[in-house]
Amino acid sequence: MLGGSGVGKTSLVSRFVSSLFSDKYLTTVGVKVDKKTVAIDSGEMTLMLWDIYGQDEFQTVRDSYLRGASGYLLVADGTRSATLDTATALQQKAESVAGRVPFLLLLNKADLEPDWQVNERALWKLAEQGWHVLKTSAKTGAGVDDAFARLAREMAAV
Amino acid sequence: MTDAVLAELLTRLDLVVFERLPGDVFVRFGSAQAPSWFSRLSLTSREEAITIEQAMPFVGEFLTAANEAWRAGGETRLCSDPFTVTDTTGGEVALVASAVVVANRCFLILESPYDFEERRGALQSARENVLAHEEHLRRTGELLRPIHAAQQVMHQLTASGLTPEQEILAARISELLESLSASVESLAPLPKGVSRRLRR
Repeated sequence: MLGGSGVGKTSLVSRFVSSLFSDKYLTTVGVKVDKKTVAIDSGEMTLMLWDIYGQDEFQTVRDSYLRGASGYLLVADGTRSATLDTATALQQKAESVAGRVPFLLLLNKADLEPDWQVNERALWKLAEQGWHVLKTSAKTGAGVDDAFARLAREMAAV
Repeated sequence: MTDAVLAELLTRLDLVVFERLPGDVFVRFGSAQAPSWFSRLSLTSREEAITIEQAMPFVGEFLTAANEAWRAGGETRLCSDPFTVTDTTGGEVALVASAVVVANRCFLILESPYDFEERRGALQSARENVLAHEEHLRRTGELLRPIHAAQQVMHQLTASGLTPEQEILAARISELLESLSASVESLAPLPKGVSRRLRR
């Protein structure tokens, strides 16, 4: 899970793994690894989910955390347009370290879509570059299972 | 100091030490009772070699760098970033891993950092401040938009031709709008580029 701080990476993992959500913001220090098995067309896949601290002016994601990744989820907060820039920068880093592995961009906090600030034109450009963008809400659960399942399918197809 | 005394000392210091044996097998050093946080992890007993990667995947990643440090030897201690593991109660245990070489023996040390919560608290506070500031900037921008729109309307109105009395009123309204805009902008100074975009 890659993204800026406060975009909802931990909440997405918590929703997906434990079906839990908390409104309380608790910043991630370091890395937490969870796992969950998902069903894919060819059987099952156990996902090792690396919930990595958010990249911001206080912390930078280490290259070593990206090495060996079979895929990744970029997470941006729809209500904060700058987090899309952070996600884009992290994608470049991830590609340089892990290579061209499957990834998805999740625009989180879809429950607050009326307040979204993300630049629609920027999203169009990303879509034109082949990025797959999904809307999710860790709060309501909308799109969360689908996002992880889709990434699993794409990783299995490689 | 005997190994037993050393092992007890390590437990008192809240450390768990594994020795790396040939074949990349890790065995816990000493037989003293482990710290409570270690007991809550779903790891096997000392009699069985554990697969670190299975128990703690983050440590598995750390071992890549640790192997380099062990090969190099010397007195360097390589430390990982903090990482958290879910224990058997469902709670989280924060840990830091270290790799050291002592007397040509390779050791992996796990410890629960005493300052983890303090560090998290500091980062939490800093990030909450950043988020609050971002929200403040956003709301300030929202307040300025209608003010700048009204200023543009006043400009168009003035340019369309007014009577002398209307011009005086228009000038007064423009002054009030300018003053209101300055008051709002003083709450949270916006970068010049942002102000210009709002006025356009």
